[in-house]
Amino acid sequence: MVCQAQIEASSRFCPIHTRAFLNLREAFTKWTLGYGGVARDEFLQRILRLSETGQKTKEVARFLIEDLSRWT
Amino acid sequence: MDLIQTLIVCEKPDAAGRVARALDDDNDPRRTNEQGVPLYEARRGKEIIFVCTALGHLYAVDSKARTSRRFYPVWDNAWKSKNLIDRESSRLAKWIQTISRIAQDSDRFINACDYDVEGSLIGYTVLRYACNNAHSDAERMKFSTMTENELRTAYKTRASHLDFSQAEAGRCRHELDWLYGINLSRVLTESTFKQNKGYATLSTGRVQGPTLKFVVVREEEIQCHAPTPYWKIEATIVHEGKTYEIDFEKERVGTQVEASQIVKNCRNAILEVTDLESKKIQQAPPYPFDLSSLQAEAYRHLGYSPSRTLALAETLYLEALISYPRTSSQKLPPEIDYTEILKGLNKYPSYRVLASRLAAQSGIRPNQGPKQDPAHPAVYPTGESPKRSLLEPETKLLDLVIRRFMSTFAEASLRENTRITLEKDQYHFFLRGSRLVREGWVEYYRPYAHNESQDLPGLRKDDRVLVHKIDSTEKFTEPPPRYNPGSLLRRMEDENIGTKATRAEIIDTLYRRGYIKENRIQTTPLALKVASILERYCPLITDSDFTAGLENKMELIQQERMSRTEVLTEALEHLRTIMHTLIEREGELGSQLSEIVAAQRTSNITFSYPCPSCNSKLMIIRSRGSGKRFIGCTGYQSGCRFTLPLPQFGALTISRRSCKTCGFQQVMVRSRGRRPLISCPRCYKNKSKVKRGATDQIKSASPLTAA
Repeated sequence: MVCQAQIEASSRFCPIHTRAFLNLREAFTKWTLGYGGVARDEFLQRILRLSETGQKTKEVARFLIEDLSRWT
Repeated sequence: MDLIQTLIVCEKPDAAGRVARALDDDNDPRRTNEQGVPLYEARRGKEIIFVCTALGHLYAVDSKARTSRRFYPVWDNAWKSKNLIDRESSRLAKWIQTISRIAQDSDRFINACDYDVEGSLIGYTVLRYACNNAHSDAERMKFSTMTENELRTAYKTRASHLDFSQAEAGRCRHELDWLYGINLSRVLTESTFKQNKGYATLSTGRVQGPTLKFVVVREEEIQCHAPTPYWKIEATIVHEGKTYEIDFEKERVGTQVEASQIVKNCRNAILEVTDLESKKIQQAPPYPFDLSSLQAEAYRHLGYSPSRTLALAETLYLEALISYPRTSSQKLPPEIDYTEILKGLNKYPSYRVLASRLAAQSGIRPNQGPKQDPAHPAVYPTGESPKRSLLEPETKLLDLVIRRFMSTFAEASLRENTRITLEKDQYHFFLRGSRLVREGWVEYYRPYAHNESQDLPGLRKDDRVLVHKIDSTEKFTEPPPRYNPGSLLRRMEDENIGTKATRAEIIDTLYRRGYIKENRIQTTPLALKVASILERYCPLITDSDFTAGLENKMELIQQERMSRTEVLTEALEHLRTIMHTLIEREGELGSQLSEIVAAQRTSNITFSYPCPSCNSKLMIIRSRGSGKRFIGCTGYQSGCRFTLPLPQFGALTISRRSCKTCGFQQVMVRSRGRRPLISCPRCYKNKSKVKRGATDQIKSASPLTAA
């Protein structure tokens, strides 16, 4: 869905994007705790702007921003 | 009077010259040049000594039968002279002919190649194949420096037989590397080529595979990094007109609310000094250099890549200025005569004061490190003066070796670390300071040793001080740092893969294959694909434990606790299974790799900086007529004739860096054993134009001036 690579059976992503997606979800929990609550949309927008964010994580974030229901 | 004729085999021409000079009664051997092959003839009493030289390996492993270079799998192999294996080595035929001719009339044979696995193997193959099986009763010289004294002693005390166990370990390593490298690389390259999307040499091997995995794993960590926020408390105090930074007890505060609360509670607060703690810490001198620590220090302080450091160190060794650099030892035995070396260093004006101070002390001992090498001591300077003026990089590396050598004999340095604790309610802040009480070895290792001191205010217990500024800064977690050639080499060493002689070369190969780029190493899409294919179909090849296991077994051959055949048989069983799997899935493999190869080829030669004339894309093009490469415009068909020149030698990559003068994208050229050269093609062209213009002016001006 994000790239042309073969997706994993248990996921909608290829192995590397699955890893980025899992990291993103884990980071969201920490962001919520850190800021005392943050909307997914805002979280993803900020993640995209940060220079520390990895390329694959940005690709997944872009994919999720298009349709937030993809998050679950 | 019957003269005995001895043939000594050395590894390199410079070494042969030094050995011949040291052994000749008059210190002046006759040098002849047969078909461009240097040969030395020395007289020593009733002995004529011919000293000949190899050029590294003259023999290598190749397939037994003459098969196509594209055929795989290949199992049967044999040692052949290198001129029969590759065209680049054709001149070695003359080398072998000359050695064989001298060998026919020789009564005694001595291997005087470097005393390590590779040197033992070079001498062994030359004596066996070029000297008609002379290896069986040849003798062996062992030395760690090329000084005349040590060479003469090594000749007198030579062993009566070759070091066969080292040679066997070397044979095994070469045969294993060939079997793994040839088969795996051919299956990757050929399966890709069969997809008709162009040719690219793809390679892997039992050391290259795990090394590639290290960088790929790191790249994936970086690419999948999702930063999380934390807050840092930054505060200062002012005491007697001077501002000091203070550290909050927690380096990272996890929530914004907590950080704001700390700032609110401590703004304009009075802090009380509750504790003053001072600790004096002795810092032992550094260990003597083994090759890896020399490469790491040279990268850190001088910016030299590991392969460049090795090349420079070998030059200094051949000039008899330092001891043999390919060593794993961090120990300096007393036999090298520390005082004599320090007296030698006394001749260099810049080391005179320090060296004479050490030499005046009685019973000096170096701070020996834990690593050992049965063949050679740690790297040390010989104390001899250079016979020619050294190049700047050689001088710098020699300086590093000399200062490190001297510092290992110096006393420990003494540093006083002080921590002042300041409190406000439940909050703790710290003021940290440090000063060097006694310089010790730091004085000897300057400028490579850090000598940072941080002063503290004169505060006492129960003193009070006002918080001058306090704020919280939002920060985000960073991905792990990228490898550089130095840190990657250290990782290879920690994992025990490759040898001190081959690690730097493996990293260079990864660059040449287009798997990695830049100094802060980035992997290319091709590397990610190759690594994922290997991980999927033959994980053993990228498993560092498997490679380290083979390295251990080769050490057992050296210790005569395992035979070469045993190790080869076991390793081949694994390789046969791997090859079977890969050949079965050749089509699948090829189609995945060929897509990436084609995409990478285009991206590798395309500049992101547009053509200044027509705004089209600029590419690296090779002229069909002259074979030369240059930068050309893709708008050529529409009439754009913009071109720029390029360096013609070395592996060329387009850098992401822009030229500070004109903004054009720079190019980087890597040549083996040399520092990468980064330049701007546009500025180069303009400079050439100016130069040409000046010459033209002089030419055109000359007749007028004459008139």
